[in-house]
Amino acid sequence: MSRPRVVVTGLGLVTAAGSDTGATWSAVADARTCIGPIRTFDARVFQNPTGAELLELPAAEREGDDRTLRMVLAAGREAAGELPGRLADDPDARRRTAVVLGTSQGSILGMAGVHRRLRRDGGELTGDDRDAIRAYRPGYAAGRLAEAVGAEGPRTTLGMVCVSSAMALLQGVELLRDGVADRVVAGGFEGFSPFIFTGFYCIGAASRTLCRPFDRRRDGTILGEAAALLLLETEDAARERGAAPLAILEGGGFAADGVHMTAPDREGRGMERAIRQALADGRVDPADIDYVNAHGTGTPYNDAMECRALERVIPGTMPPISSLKATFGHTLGAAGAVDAGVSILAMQHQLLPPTLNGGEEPEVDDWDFVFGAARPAQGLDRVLSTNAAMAGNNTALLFRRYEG
Amino acid sequence: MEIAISGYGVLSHLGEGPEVLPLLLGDPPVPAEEPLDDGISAPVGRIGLIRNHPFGRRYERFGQMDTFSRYAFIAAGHALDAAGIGAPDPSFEDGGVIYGTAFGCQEANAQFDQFSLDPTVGLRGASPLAFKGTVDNAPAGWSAVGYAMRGVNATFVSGLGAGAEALLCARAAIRAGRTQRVIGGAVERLIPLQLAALVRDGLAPEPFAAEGAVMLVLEDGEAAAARGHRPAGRLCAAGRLPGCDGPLLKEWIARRGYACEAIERVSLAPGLGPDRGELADLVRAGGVTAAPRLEADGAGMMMAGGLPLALAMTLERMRNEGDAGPALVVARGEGREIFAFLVES
Repeated sequence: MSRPRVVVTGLGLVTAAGSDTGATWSAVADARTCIGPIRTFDARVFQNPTGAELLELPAAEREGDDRTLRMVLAAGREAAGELPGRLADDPDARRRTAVVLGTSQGSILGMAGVHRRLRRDGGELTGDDRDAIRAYRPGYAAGRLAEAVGAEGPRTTLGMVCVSSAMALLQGVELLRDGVADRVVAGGFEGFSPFIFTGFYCIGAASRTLCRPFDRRRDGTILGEAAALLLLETEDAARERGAAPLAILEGGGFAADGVHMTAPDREGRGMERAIRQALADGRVDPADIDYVNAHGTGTPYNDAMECRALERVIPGTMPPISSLKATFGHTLGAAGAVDAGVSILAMQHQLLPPTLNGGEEPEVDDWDFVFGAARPAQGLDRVLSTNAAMAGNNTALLFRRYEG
Repeated sequence: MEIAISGYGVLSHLGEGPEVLPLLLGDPPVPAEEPLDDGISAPVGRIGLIRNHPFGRRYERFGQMDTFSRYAFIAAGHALDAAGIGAPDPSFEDGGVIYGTAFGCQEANAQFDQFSLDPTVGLRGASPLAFKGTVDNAPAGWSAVGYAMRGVNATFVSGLGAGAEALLCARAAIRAGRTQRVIGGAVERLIPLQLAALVRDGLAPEPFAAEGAVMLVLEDGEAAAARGHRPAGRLCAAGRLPGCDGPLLKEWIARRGYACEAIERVSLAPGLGPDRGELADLVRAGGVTAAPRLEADGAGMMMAGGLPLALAMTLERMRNEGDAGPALVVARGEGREIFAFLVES
């Protein structure tokens, strides 16, 4: 039995650049960083109190919705477009519409307050505490998003730190190929929180200076927040409702390093396995990749590891490679879907996204890391998007421009 | 492609490994009530901390793992033993690890949180070792490292269905040729705050909440045969059925080539609140005539572990009774979704 082709028919990108895809793409095209001084909490304890924050949050849909929920619901509504209206009168279509999310810490912001207050004061929970506990319950955001877009099909959440949303997209593909769903709202989210900042500082992954992906002077990453959702459909389902595909999600792969909990395999063998899986899954020749949207966190080990993996997989001339981490910060659970969304926009606009803050000392001398500014490209038809995470997870996704 | 269930391993509040399985299939007593938060008490099957364990000899960094990850590592070790896979073993390096969890790393998060942005403490007390445990995929990561399983790796955190999703994902990965075998299942470390919230919201775990881990080794049937291993069972079909009702379940079973009346056993996974009464009604409405059993109840409600546990305990019962099946194992997921697995021994 032939498997259905999976197309992307909607994007919803809420990043520090703004609450929609247009604002997000503008930051990429203009080569503008969204990283600045942290304003949402007192960050003086950190050596480098900067990050990529969303300063104007989307409106709360319910009283008590925290910033992560606001972001994910706004991104989901943008990605779904007119779909909720279509689903309203079609129970069968609702049942065949799924939601798959990825996140690292979900709605931890409210819970952190509860933890600390209980420890300090003991005693009674307040109504707000109970709301925070409920919002922190696994699957809560997926349930709210399903409600918002009218989806009554499978609801899934993956918790895999920085590959969470890339895995959500892969899982969405699986649901479509399995015939369990006709369309899936898939992606991920991550809100700013002191908890995550503390963690990244204590494992030495946070930059003391600037986030400089693929530059040998790099010393770590800078965190950001985002929600990024893609509407995935089988090509038949998209055609049936007259939706215009933006891209084809050709294939994907995921693999473990299996060597260390917080550091990647120095040789990138897990990443290599993930990319090779994706190529096999999409039946794509590595020489046909036009651009690599890399994870490129700006940590010394990650960027070197990705280069080692890519040089083994892609023979001959390396296509342009860039990273969005110096633009939007490292958005953890949202990163894979942000990268996927921008990769699709890059093909639409035939513009290579830039890698900011670097260029003087490239990780590999003769590779094109698109340092400094976005650059027009011709024939930008296929993108490989890679992500890696703590606990040794790696993902690779292949997108192709839709030509009918 | 035939998917073999090459082995399974359990860590529960009553013990672990092959020795605990007869106990769990008996009628063990419900554990004592434990005061939770918010003035609520409930019985909880606690394992608590595991400081030393014989499996620590299999991996020198066992002592660095958080409790949640240790649970998974131990159950996975038992599953690998049952599957006849010596681990770590380089010849099984393409193997995968796919886990599900409902409560995830919430305990480690609560502990680590005391260091985040407290101006009086600063970052001095924040431990990189503690932070390793604050990610939901820590157990899958540690198991991959400790058992040298470097193939596919994933962690579902969807709630009650996460363990079933892990097994579905494992099966899909094998069928797609991404790997030949996967350790799949679920792990739970319970925190009082969330348990209390569930009880308060009318979702008390049935028969009682329990910590633990349950892992199964799913394997390409030909690969299992090639290494001369006799599997514990065969995963004949597995699916997720959103918005499921009786007729839909009946149709799903029929499409897998089974007649409802030919299904000899039905196991209902532990659930929350009214879940199981509804599940039993649904199975009956689907035309399955075998009386529903509660094979996993001895170990309690391991949250995301419900379906993997019911699957393992059903296979264990079938082995003990010399019954080949087929058996239907069902569990509730999120919303109105159910998971249905058909196995034969």
